[in-house]
Amino acid sequence: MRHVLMILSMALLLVRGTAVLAQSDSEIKQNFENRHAELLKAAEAATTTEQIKKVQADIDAFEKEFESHKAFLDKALYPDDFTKSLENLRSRVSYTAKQTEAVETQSARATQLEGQVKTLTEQVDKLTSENSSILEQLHALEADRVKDKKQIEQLRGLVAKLQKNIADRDNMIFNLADSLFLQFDKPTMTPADERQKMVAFEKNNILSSVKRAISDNMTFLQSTALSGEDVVRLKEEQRKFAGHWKGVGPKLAQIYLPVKEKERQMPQIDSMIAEWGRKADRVFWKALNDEFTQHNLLVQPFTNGESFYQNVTRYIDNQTNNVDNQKDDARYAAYSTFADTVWEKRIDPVWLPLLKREGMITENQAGDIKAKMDIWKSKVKSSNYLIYIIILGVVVIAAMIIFSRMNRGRKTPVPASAP
Amino acid sequence: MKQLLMLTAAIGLFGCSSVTLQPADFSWPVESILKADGNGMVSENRFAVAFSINELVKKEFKDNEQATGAGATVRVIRDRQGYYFMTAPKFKNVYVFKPGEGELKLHRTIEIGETEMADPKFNQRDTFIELLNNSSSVRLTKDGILEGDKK
Repeated sequence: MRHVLMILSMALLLVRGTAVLAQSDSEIKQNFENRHAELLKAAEAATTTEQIKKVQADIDAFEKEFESHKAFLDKALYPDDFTKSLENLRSRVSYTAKQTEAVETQSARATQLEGQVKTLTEQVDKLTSENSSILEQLHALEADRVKDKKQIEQLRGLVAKLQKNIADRDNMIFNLADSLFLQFDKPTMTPADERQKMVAFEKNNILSSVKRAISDNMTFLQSTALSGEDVVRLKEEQRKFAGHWKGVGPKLAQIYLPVKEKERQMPQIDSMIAEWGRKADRVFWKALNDEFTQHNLLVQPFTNGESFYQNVTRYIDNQTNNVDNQKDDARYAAYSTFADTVWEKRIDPVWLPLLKREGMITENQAGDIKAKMDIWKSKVKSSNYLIYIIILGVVVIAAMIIFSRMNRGRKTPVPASAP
Repeated sequence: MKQLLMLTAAIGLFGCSSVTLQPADFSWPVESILKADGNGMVSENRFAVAFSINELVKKEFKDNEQATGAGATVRVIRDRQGYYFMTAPKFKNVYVFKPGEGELKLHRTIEIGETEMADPKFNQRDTFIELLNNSSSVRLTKDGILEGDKK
């Protein structure tokens, strides 16, 4: 009897246990959907590699937990089945992982750029201060009208250093601006980001550095110690700077849009660059004119590529046509000064490359000048040939006279000597 | 002539005979918990079905003349044969409906107990519908509670 009771109570417990364990399918589905939603949210919200790893582990555990209900969930879930639901989760995690990786890379790059910006800012400041000091020394030496060789060498040294420093500083300013733009290169910019960007540009004195650079360049152009090579380089520097500004200026204007006072500086800088360009042009053409006048070559002054071509060719034509009216030594000297001293040594190697590169004169025009010089040369040489023939004739006649006298001397009888 | 008439009749009879597609499985894998709108209409989007539960609520709460389906929540599941099983918390019965032309016709009312069910839930099973209520479960078919589960 006791055994029967025990068996009965055990059976009751078993039945009761089964009843308690009975679970609603809709609850399983609901649990799955809730957990899926939570994991999806976690996958979307993850911002670090650690968080992503945790979500991935949670998804694995989630899959294991519901694997026994797979057959039911495949039918009950709609529109995605069990497998597809997990795939969706994993693909979302993978997307977040890629995004996080990109953000972490971007963050590392931002840190690197921040360091770069700091270094560049320091270098720009250092060069700006050094340039001011060199400009002062340059002006002082120019005011003294230095004559002795040592001081002239010192002056040349200062000019060369200043020129290099200015070019380096100009480059650094734009590198700095580029680095700052990169630092804030985000797919979406909030108003706070925009503000931060502006503050960064302001903190690194971009606008004032640009203005200072233009001003220093213009001051440097006033130096009287500039060689033709210096002038060519300064003109190239102006072109390069203007090109950089063309790229950077509109972006800076966009950044400073909310600050009217700063925004107004943009057209000011445009005007400064234009003024610098005009000044560089004036210095350039004056220095090129000087190449001829320094050697007393009376080429008509020119102020642009076309008038340079016209006046130089006119000068060559005049000289060519005038060869016959010049004294022998003068005609050759005129040609030699123009061609050998000025054109071959100065214009061709120093000025022509820039003139051609900047489209101030064409290849055809340069070729035309060379062709006219060849004509001039041939005329000068043909006159010289005549002189050579005359000289040769005189030499031949003189040689004949000397030879005949020597022969006559040999025919005179030699007195016989006594034995 | 007689033979011709017989042949025609045979062809006619063959053409008119009904076509049956089987087997067919109408079962929903899981119950749907449907909340009625202000007019007592519930709709199940996945299975594209909608109906009014007003008469169901009235029948369950026949003592309460004010009873209406508006805003009520019902649990619905369909068995393999296509019968709809419906119940809800505070119901004492499970109602079995058979689909008709633009209507669901009550096939059977299955009384589960004398007391209201607190939290009834349906599960789809191979040959029956399982009804869970708190810790107890009973097996249902369109015709009632399966033998052995009856109290």
